Amino acid sequence: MKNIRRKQIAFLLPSLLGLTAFFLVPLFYCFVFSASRTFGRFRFSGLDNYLSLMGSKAFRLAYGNTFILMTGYIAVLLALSLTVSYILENSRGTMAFLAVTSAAMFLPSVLIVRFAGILPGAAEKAPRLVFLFIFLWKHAGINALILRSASNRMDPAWREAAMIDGAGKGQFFWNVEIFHLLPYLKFLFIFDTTCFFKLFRESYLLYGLYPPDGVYMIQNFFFNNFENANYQRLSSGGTIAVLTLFAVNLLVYKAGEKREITQ
Amino acid sequence: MRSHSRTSGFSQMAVRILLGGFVLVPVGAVAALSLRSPLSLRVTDLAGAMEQFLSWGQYRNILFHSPEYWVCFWNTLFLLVPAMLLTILFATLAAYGLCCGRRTRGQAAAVMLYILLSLLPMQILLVPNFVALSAMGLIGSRLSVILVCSFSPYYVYFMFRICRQIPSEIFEAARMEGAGELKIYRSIAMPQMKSGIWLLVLIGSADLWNMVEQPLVFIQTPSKYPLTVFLRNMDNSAGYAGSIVFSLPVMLLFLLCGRDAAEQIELL
Repeated sequence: MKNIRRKQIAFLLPSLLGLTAFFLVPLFYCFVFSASRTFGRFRFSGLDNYLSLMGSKAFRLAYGNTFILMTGYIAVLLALSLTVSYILENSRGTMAFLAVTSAAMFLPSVLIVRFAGILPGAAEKAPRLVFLFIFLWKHAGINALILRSASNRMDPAWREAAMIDGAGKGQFFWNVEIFHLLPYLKFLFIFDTTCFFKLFRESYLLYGLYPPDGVYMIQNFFFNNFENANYQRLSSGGTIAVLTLFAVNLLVYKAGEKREITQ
Repeated sequence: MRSHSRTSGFSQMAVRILLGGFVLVPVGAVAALSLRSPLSLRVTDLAGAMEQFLSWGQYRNILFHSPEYWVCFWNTLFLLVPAMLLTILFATLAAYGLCCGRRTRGQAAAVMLYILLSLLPMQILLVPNFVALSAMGLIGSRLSVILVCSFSPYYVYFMFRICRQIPSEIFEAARMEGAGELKIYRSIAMPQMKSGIWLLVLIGSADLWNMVEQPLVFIQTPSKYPLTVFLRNMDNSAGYAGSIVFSLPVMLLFLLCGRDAAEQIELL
């Protein structure tokens, strides 16, 4: 038995080695140097980097925008795809339709950015709406597909029992179905978070490295400050962002855990 | 009951038309504009209109008159193919390692580690990655981007979700028969994960096809930049056709493995 476990670890080894070399050790290194005056030779400076970062207007703008837009966009996306999957019935045609609409996620950014460029003045006047449009366009299909197929897997006996007791479709949805969908919604939250940060590509294609204030996000801040090579300050920014992300996700993960229905 | 099903039929139709239109209109609009002639002609009659709005001019410019387009196209492929192959190798190996044995604490901790790391946006990881790559002296080479992309923790978590669905009794039975772990991985786990791997290829290639950040920071040589960076600077004389041509390989890939992939998404 022990022998098998050793072999299993051997399977994990290549990936873990890469993870350690490219992510874990350097992340830890950056975390340590976020409290140093210079990068590469440690000279303790306490919270100086953090304080100077908080004082920076660009960082506050980027941090605030990221927080607001991320929660707002993901909320709209999940609401939209829940509505779609609620209205569409469980049939082969529906699944094929949703599979085709989810193709949008795989299409290159240049395509949708070209389209956003056609609408006159939109990119300058309403950048947040344009970003929302792009975000929904790319991900509404795949989110609805995942939710719809999760609903399909629900035990049909539940619905029948509820119908016999006189519950309508809406009542059943809010009292039972939503709790069945909760674990999937959480998975989608993680998935959509990673997708949200990829909006940097559309941003770069639309505006280059300096987007308008409304959509100036933490990704832009990091990218632009990279050029200045002030790595210790970037490291403290990274630490703040990492901690916020972990906290938000822990919160989401714990939310409504007791009422979740898993089969 | 009857009127109820009719209204639900109507709202279903409405959702399909709205969502379908929402997804298709941008693609259709760009495709339509890609047929506009790069020169602005004065339209006086039907033939003139045909020449203005139904011309292959943009496509001709892209395919035959812009060598940089093809240089960047190959740059993208040189990054994408090795990165994708390595990702498949590392992710399936790790996924098998994570789910072939008993559920232990160590296994749960490893899964958690992959989830947490895959939450981090790559822009935050740019500094740590850069530190690691420059310590290895890889900055400026294509290998830098390939390596960083192929260890992406998200895909390991993804393959783990797929591999978890294989009933572990199969592995047990094979072990009873005396099959080694490597043999089980190769001849049982890999075939069972086949459609999952196709989905990985689809998601991974779509992502790598769009690469912007890592090449800009790690490669730093414009002649090695991928196509997306190049397409940004393209004007209307060929830009629309350029985006369409650029999208075709991904659409083709979607047609090839879309069915397997959709099946797998439904199980996710």
